[in-house]
Amino acid sequence: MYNRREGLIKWLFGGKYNLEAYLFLLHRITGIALALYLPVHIIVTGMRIFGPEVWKATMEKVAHSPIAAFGEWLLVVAVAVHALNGMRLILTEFGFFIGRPSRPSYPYTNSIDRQRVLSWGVMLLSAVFIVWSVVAFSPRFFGH
Amino acid sequence: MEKKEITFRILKYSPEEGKPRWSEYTLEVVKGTTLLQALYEVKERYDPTLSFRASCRMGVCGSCAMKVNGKHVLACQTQVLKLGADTLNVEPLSNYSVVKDLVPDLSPLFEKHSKVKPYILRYSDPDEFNNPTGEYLQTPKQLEDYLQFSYCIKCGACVSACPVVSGNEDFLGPQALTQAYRYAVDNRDEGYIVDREVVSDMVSGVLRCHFVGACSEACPKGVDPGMALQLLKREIFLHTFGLKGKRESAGLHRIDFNAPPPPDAPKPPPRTVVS
Ligand code: SF4
Ligand code: FES
Repeated sequence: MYNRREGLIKWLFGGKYNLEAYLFLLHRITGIALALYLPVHIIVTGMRIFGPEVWKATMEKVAHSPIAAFGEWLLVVAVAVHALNGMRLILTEFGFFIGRPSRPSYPYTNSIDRQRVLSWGVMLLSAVFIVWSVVAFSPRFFGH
Repeated sequence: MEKKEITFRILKYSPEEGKPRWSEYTLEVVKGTTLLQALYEVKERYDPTLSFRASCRMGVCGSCAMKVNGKHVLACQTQVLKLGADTLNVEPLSNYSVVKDLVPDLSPLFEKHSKVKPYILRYSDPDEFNNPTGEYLQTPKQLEDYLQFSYCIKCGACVSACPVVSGNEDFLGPQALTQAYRYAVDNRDEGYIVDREVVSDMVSGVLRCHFVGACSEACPKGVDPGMALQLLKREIFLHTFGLKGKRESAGLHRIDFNAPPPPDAPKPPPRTVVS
C-alpha cells in the first residue's frame, strides 16, 4: 500500500475547490505569522525595562527603516485579514448563514455556497483595508 | 447518438511494482456512459489487471468514490461526456492508503466512524432495544434535524477532500463527525455529545475543523458534512456554557402486537405459500 495523504501540500493547493479553501490557507499563514511575531514583539517592547536609553536605541534599530515599515505594513494587513476571516468563521460556527438541515433533493445545495456572500465580504473589506493601509503607510515606505 | 473518443489516464499501482504510474487508454464513449461503465470496458478490453471497487452501480453503496480531474465523484453516477473533457485523469481518493489501482483502504474511515458511537444511546429504557414493545415518537421537525446527515453512504470522498485530515491524521474528519452530530441531535438518543467525548477532543475533535467546505463540495449525496460540523461546534458551545436546555427524550408509543386488526382494515391477500 502507498499513502496518499498529501500533508501540508493540500493547504497550499486547494485544488478545484471553493474559495474558502484559499481563505483557509490565508488564515493559516497569517495566523502562524502573527503567532511568530508575538514573542518578538514582547521582547522588543520589553526592552523598556532596561531604561529609556536602551529603548530608544532599540527603536532606532528596528522601527525607522523602510524595511521595518514594510514589515509593519505586512503585519497590519495580516491582522486585518485574519480578523475579518475570523469573524466569518465565528458567524458560521454559530450556525449563521449556513442554512438549516433539510431533506437533500437534487440538485444539492450546501452550506459553504450559502455563506459565500460572507467570503466575498471578507475579500472586499480586506481589499479596501489594504488599499487604505498602503496610502497610510506610504510616507514611511519612503523613509519619512 | 452522440459519441466521442475519450482518453482515460488512470493512476495505477500494484504492491509488486511499488510505484504508482499513469496508464492511458482511449475509448469511444457514447452519451450516457458512466465512468464506472468505462472502467469496466477498459478492464474487459485492454487491461484485465485494472482494479476498482463497485457494487450497486446506483450511487447507494459508496464503493466507487474516486477523483476525476481533481474532483470527487461516484464513478457510477458520473456520465463521462458530461465531464466535458477529452482527457480524464482518474485517481484513487486522497488521504487514504491505496491497496491497488483505484482501491483505497477505507479502514481508517470505519475506525473513526465507530469512535463516535454512531448509534442511539438509550439509558432510560435499555430493554426496549432488545425487546421492543412499541415505537419512539418523533415530530417531522425532529426528523429533519438529522435526516440529511443520515444519507451518508460512507464513500470517503469528504475525508479525501479535507485539508485538515491531510495535515492531521488523527482528526476524526467530516464523515465521522457528521455522524456524531446526526446521533447527538436525534431526540431518541440520550448520549448527546456528552457520551461521545471524542467529538470535543482538542486534537481529533470537531474544533480542528476550519470550515474549508471542501467536504460539502465533494459529497455526492448532498449530506453537507460542513454544515453538520458547524452545528456540532455550536452544540459544544451551548453545552459548555450551560445554555442548552434539557431535551425531552422521545416518548414511547406502545403497540399491542397481538391486538386484532381494526374492523375496517383491508384484508390481507390469500397466502401463496402454505407451510
Ligand atoms: S458525508 Fe458524503 S462524502 Fe462523506 S462519506 Fe458520507 S456520503 Fe461520502
Ligand atoms: S457502485 Fe455503489 S455507489 Fe457507485
